Amino acid sequence: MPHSTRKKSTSQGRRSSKKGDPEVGDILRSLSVANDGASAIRRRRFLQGSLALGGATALGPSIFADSAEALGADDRILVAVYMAGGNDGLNTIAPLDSGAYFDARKTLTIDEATAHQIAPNRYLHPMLGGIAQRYRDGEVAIVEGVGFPDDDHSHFSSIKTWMSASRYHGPGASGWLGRYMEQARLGDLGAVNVGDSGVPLLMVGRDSVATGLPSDGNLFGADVTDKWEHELVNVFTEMSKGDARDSAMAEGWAKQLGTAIDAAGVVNPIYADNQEERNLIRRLGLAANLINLDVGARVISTSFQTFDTHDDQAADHAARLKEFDDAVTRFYSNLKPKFRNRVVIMTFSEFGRRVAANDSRGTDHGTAGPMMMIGPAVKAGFHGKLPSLKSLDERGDMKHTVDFREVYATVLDQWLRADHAQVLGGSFTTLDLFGKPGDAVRAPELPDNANGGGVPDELTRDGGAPVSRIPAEIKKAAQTVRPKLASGF
Amino acid sequence: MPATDKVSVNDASHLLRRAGFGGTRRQARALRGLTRAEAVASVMDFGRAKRPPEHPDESEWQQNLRAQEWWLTEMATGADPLREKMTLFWHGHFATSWDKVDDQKLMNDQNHLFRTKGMGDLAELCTDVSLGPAMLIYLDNETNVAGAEQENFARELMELFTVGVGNFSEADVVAMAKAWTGHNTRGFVNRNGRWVYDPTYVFNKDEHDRGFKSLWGIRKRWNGPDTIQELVHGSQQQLTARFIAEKLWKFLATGTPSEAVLNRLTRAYVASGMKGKALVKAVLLEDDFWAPEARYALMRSPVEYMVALLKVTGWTTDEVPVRWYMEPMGQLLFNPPDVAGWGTNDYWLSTATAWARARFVTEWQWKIRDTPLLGGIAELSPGDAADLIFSTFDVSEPTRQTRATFETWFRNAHSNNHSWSIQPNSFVLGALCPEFQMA
Repeated sequence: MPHSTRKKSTSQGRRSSKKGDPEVGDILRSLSVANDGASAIRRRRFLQGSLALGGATALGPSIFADSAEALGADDRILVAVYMAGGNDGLNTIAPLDSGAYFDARKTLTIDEATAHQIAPNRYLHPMLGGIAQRYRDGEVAIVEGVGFPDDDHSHFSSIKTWMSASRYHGPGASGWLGRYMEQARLGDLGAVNVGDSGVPLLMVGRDSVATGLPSDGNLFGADVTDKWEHELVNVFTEMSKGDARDSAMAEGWAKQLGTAIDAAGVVNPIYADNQEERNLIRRLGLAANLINLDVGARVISTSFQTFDTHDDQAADHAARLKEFDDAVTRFYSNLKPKFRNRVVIMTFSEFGRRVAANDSRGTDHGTAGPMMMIGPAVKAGFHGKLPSLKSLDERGDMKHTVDFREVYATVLDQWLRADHAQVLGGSFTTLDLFGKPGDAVRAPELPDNANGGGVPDELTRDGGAPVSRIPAEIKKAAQTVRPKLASGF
Repeated sequence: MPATDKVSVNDASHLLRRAGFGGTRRQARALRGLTRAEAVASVMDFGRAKRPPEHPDESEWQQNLRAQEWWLTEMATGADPLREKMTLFWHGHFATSWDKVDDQKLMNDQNHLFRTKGMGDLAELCTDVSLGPAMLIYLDNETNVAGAEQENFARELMELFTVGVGNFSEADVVAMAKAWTGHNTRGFVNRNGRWVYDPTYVFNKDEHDRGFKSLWGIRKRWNGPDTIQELVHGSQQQLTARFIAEKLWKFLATGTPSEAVLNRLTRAYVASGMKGKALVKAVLLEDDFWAPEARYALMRSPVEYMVALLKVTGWTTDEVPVRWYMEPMGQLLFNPPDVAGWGTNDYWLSTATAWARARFVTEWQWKIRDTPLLGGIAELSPGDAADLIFSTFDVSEPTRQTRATFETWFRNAHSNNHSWSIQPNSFVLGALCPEFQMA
């Protein structure tokens, strides 16, 4: 597995190896901390580098095609979709029977006549017709009230927190799926971002970066039918193998181009159904095509924007949700049936929006929001708990009921079969989001009674009248599954 | 002391890559023998700033494309590349997107501010940008009125423009939003029975919250622009100076600055009265800026890369439609992805962006045969051919590995009897080699 060909270049790491005699320093470090996965990778890089010096410029065939392994019998696939800008969860899955919702949103409420009721007091946005049908077919799990403590309402730091699953965002920061990618030793096509700019922090590991696939085809390196072109491409493949550059960035580029060339021949077929659009529909279609290739894609990420709806929200938000709905439809229409049970789509966004609409017919940055998990393997229905729309924090924001890392922990343990504590750097209680593919679909629970919430004494509906009281034994049960927040976050 | 060190051709080449978009060997030679201070002074001697031309009869979209092309051309061929580079820095810093503003004229006005005031007092620049219609629209202060505050601008003013995240509280955001109430655009006005949007800045006194607000422990009747004075010249000056100094270091020099460097840059910036020119100069005169570790240590952003290619080839944006290639590479001028602008270094490293660069280069490589560039290369020895590629692309310090692979390829191309491809393929090698991706 050419893991080390995707070296992540940080000038920090490089600079430290420049102190004193770099070679000796590298060797000592790699020998003395043998159990550390990161230094194992550094050591492999070092060995590879010394071999390259001896092997010089022999042009060999790509080893890439051999290393692109088919999906193992037990392997599952996660497709993470980032709704960039802060999705308004309240208007995505609206509690249309709550007076508090109408009080807060005034004119910025979704249309009751065309919204899709999927559970008591839960209505999907009118543009989410496809998702509503999938919900009814038992293929959608919704986790409500997901967020994190001390949200600072900044796009910038909030999304870094979501992507890294850490408060540390400085140099050398990594993403939780990037760390998973390294822990599971996924190959170059094991972790892929589909999009037209850089790979997001989400897919950056401690020592390596996921492969980024553009939404256009015509990849450099894909067509080497002419000899003179083949030779040209080989130059860059050869350049990517060495480890002798002074500049970590230059070396990083050489590796990226080398990976790109290696991957081009393998992934080129996914662009065959050349669709015009350059949006999420296109990107999720490509994600399905990539899975169909069966070259070991295990984690795929992509994103679309913008959900930052400070003013005149209604039309923009509707357009984005329509794009999402159509994209999921495209994904499943492209996906080969044999992979259906192996894939889960997970959405996330940096924050929800403020409960009260602002005076520009929009909403400002808020806190908690829902996450959607889509696929036949999910335990369909509602999980987590919609926070109260009346008992808000001092900013007028919802108090989250589920820590986002509990969802990640669940995905890691129950779906990707990894050890979440290693990836997330702490132990989290998990939710119950996955059944075995083919299990009978559980009837959606009444969200107000869903487990995992910090269950309040009274639930309000229709403008505030308490509608139910939770029996003590359910409350107790709910509290025992209530996850503890890791300290130090 | 080091400011009196004499610069070599390689030093000069490094300076031209950082304080601009790369130079030619000739330009580098012209700086040889000057002291560092003299060389730096020579790239900071600016002429009159040009203004982006207006094309009012064209569609909004067309105007946006025109402005992108004009600016790329100005960076590539203008007399003051460092000023253009700083204009790019401020554009990423005060990120504003045409996509939302939807009026290229306003974007051009803002662009002109970066160009004319970017080297001056930060408070003046920040105030003019903040009260400029493009920013008022982009961060929604146009609708920020007393009693219905809009926090978007207030937050970013502190988080992204001045002190940085972690250096203000949520209470500061609330107070800041109140301070900026009433600083709006004229909005929809009735002209001869038609409602049209007038983006002109206006201070709506009646919409301004004149009450007392507490910011940084100072309780007074804060009004928008006062807060910028306080952030840049008052109690928050150290934080702001450090924040901008670190960001500029990462943009012009290399990774994270050492504490000593950051302290010196901050002091120089503060001592100058927060003048951009003084900070730039301080960065360029630091020993660490010239150190071997800093050479080729910054990845060129797509704009910097494309401009460097335009300089090498002499192509104009009329003959080569570079505008269609910028989005796949990940950087569209006047269209930063979000309020945080663009990142540096690792931010640009991905297979997707590598493919995008390779695509541009291979789609246009044949055009080289119409030019004298790399002419006659097929007749040279492998060593001379590699030298010609490096000097054409002003790669002053190529690595042994790059040189060795070039020479091997050159020999193969000859022995395999397709010498006709050597000139256009040499262009691809130069344009895609690791060294040329670096500033």
